[in-house]
Amino acid sequence: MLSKELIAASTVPLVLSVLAEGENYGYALIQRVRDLSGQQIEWTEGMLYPVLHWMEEQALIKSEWRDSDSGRKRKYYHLVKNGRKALETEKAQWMTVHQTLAKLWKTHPRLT
Amino acid sequence: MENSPSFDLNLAINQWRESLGRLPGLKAQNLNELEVHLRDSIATLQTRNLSLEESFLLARHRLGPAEDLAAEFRKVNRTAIWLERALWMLVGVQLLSFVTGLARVTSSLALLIGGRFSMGPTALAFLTSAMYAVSFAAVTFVAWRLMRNPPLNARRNLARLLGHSSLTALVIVFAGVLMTVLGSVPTLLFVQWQGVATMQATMAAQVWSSVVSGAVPLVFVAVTFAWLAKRHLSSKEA
Repeated sequence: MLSKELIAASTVPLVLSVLAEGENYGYALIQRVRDLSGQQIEWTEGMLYPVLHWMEEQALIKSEWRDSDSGRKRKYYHLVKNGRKALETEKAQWMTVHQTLAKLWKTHPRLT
Repeated sequence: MENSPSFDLNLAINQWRESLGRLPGLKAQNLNELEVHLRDSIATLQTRNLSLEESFLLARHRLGPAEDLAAEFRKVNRTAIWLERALWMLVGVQLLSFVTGLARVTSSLALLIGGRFSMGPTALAFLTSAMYAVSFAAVTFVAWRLMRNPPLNARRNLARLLGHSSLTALVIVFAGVLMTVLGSVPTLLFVQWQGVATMQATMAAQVWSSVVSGAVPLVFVAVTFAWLAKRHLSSKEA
């Protein structure tokens, strides 16, 4: 399980990355992240929606209510230009952290 | 796996929606989106050998505590919340002016009727003032009872009314003008019927009823304010 702080920090890049695969709605977005993380990233599901609305306010994503295949009306979110730019920035930053840690852990593999 | 026959999913979801909707911060659209999520989640959980009720409880739990959710939504919906508060303040002002208008109409009608029975200035003043206070109290009481036990679909009708905001505003202004006109017609008629000789009685009655019509709404606002402030404080402590 991820720490609360890391969950909070990674929510926006995760949402951006899932939406980069194509438009999606809240519930499926959460399932996608849970599956990809091997059940390690468990969001308090309702908390995703204020984040999505904040991201829409920041013009990173856009939403529209539409009928789904199952007949249920759902709110679909998709990336817009600003969101793609933000994703590139996030990618660069997370890769920096990731590569730095990876190098450190390779040289001192049995620190813990 | 057996569903308990007493569990009604739609009822449970409606109750959950209502309790969440009571907390400030969520718009109807937010509730719709959360409800779709809840239903999706329940459908998935049911395929994992959980009963309908268990699925509902688990899905609700996964959404998170209502208080926390409302707090997060509040941060995003700040502007909308302030607009809604301003709207309700305006509704309050309009309602108050409607109630005072109505009370003025009944008190001036009392003046007319009292004049018909050739009442003296003191009796007239008392009658019109009392009529004002009583009708103000009566309308407030009826409004309070209606709020306590709202008639069916009241919420939906109110939402529909707010949807046609310009029309509603127009009707309110029209009603206000009508009240003012209606309030002064009986006084004019009174003077016309009774002649200048009874002007003194009218004046006395009007002075007294204007004192009452000034004081009653002020007292009403002050009492309501004190009551709301007390409730607000006690809900903060709880």
